[in-house]
Amino acid sequence: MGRYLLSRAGSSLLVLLGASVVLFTVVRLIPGDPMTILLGSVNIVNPELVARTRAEYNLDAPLPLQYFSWLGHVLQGDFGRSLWTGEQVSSIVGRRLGPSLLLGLSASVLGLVVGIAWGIAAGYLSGAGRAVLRNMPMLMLVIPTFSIGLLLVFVFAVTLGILPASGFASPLEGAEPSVPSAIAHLILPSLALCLVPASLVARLTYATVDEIEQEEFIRTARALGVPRLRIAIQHSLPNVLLPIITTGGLLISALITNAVLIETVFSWPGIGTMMVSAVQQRDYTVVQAGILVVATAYVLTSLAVDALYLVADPRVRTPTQE
Amino acid sequence: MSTVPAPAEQLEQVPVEVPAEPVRLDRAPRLARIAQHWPSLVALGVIALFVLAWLARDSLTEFSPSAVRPLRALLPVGAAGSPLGTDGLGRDLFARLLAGVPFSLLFGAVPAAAGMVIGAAIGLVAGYAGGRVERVIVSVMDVLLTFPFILLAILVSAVLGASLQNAMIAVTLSILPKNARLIRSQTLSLKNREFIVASRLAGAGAVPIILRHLLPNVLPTALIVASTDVGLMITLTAGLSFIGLGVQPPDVDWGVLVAEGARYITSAPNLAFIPSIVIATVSIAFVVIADTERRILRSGQ
Repeated sequence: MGRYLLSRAGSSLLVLLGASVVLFTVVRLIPGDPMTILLGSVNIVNPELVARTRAEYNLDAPLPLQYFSWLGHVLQGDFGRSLWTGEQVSSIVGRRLGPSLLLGLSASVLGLVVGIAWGIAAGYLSGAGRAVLRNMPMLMLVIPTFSIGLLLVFVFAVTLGILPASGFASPLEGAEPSVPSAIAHLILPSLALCLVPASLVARLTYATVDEIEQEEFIRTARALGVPRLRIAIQHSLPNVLLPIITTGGLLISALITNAVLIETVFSWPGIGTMMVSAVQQRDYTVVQAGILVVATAYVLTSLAVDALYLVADPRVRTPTQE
Repeated sequence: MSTVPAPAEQLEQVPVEVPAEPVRLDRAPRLARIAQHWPSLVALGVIALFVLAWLARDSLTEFSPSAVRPLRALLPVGAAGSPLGTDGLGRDLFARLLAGVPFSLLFGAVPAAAGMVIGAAIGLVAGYAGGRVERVIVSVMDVLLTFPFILLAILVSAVLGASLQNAMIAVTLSILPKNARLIRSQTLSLKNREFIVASRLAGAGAVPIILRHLLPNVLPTALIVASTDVGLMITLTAGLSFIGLGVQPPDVDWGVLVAEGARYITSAPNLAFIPSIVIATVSIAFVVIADTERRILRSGQ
C-alpha cells in the first residue's frame, strides 16, 4: 500500500510537471512576443529597447532554459505580472483563493452529507420514494448547474428575499466583517454547487447498499431483528465510504468544473471568475497561474483522498501476499 | 502488495461484458418490442420536434432572432406574436430558442461523436497491441481521466480564442480518456476469443482484424456511450457558453440565452428559465434513448 501511495505521489508530480510544461509552452508560443506586448501596451516602438529588454529578461535563451527559470519563479510563488492591470499575479490569486476554498469546502461537506443520506434513503426506502430518489441523480446531472443556481436565486433571493442573490462577504476582513453575513452569502452558492457531487455520491451509495444487502452479515443482522435504521448506520455506512473514496478524483473534478459556473452565477470573487475574465481580457499570466493553482489543488486533494483509503479500509493497511 | 481497486466503474453504468452472440432481434413481436420502449420514442419525438421547428422557423415566427425592437422589450410570456416573451432588447425569445437549435445540438453531438471515434481508435489499438504501447496509453488515459475538464476548456479558449470550434475541441479531449478506457477493456475481453484467434492463425493482419472483427463487436457499446454523451455534452457545453467560452454573439445557443436571461432574473425570469428547461429536456431525451439502447443490447444477449 505504501508503494501504491508512493507511485501515486510520483504520477501526481508528473501530472503537475506535465501541466506546467504545457501551460508554459502554450502561453509562450502564443503569437506576439511578451516583450512586444508589454512595450506595445505603453506605445513604445523602439527595436533597440526591445532587443535590450529581451536580453535582460532572458527571452533569447532556448525555450527549455526559459521554462526552468519560469518554473523556479513559480515555485517561489512568483507568477509574474498581470498583462491587464500590471498587478502581481500572486497577489490577485491570493485574494481569490480564500473565497474559492471556502465555497469548495462547504460544497464538498454538504455534497457528501446530502449524497450519503440521499443514497441510503434510496437504498432502504420502498415504493414511490425509492423510485424518485433513484432517478433524481441522473436528472441532476443533466439539468444545468447554472440553471439550478439561478432557480435558487429566484426563489430565495428574488421571491422570498431571505438570502442575498450574489456576492461574497468576508467573515474576517473588510469594513464590517460579519460571520452571519458571510454565511448568508455562502448558503445559495454552496447549495447549488453541492448538487452534482451529491448526485454522484448518492448513485454510488445506493449501488453499494444494494450490493451489501446481499451480504451474509446484513442478512444475519436482519434475522436477529436489528432495526433497519441501525443496520443502515452501523453496517452500510462504513462500507459506502470506500467506493466514494475510490471515485474521489472524479468527484473533485466535477466540483471544480461546476464551481467555475456557480462562481459566475453568484459573482463569487473566486479563482473561477478570475480565470473566466482573464480569458476574455487575454490576460495570459493570470490564466496560467489560475490553471496551475487549480490543477495543483486538484492533484493534492486527489492524493489526500487516496491516502484516506488507508484509514478507511483496514484490509489494505496490513499488506497480504496475494 | 495489495491492490486498490481502480476508480469505480459504477458511474459509467455501461455493460462491460461483451454480447455472447452477435446482437439479433426477433422479427415476430417487433411492434410489441417497439411499443415497450415508449420512453425513447417520446424522447426521439422531442428531439425531432426541435429539429422540425428549426426547419420551419420562418413560418413559426415572424421575428428574426437578432432583430432589436426597443418598443417590444421584456414582453411577458404569452404576448401577442411572442409566445415566450422578449428580452431586454426586444428580441423574440421563441425565435432565439429556435436559432439556437443547430448550435446546441451540434455542440452536443459533434464532440460526442468525435470523442467516440478517436477514443475507440485509441482503445482498439491499445487493447489489441498490448505490451508497451498499451501500458503507455493506459497510464496517460488514467491520468487524464478525471482531470478537471474546465481547465482544459479555459486553456484552449485562452490560447485559441473563445469560439464554438475551440470549445468543441476542449470537450472532445475531455471525453477521450473515458471512451478509450472502455473500448480497450472490451477489446481485451474479445481478443482471445476463438474467432479472433482463428483469423489471426489464418494470417490476418492487425488492421483487418481490428476493423473487420473487433470494431463491429465494440460498436453497440460505443453507440450507447456516445448517445449518453450527447445528452451530457449538451449540458456541459451550454455551461461553456454560459460563461462566455462557447458560442459567441451574434450566434446564440441555449447556454448563451440563459446567460443573457440571468441579467433579468428579477423582472423576467422566463428569459433564463425557458432555455434552461429546453437544455434539460433535450439532454434527458438523449439519456433516455441511450438507456433504451442499453436495454435492447442486454435483451439481445
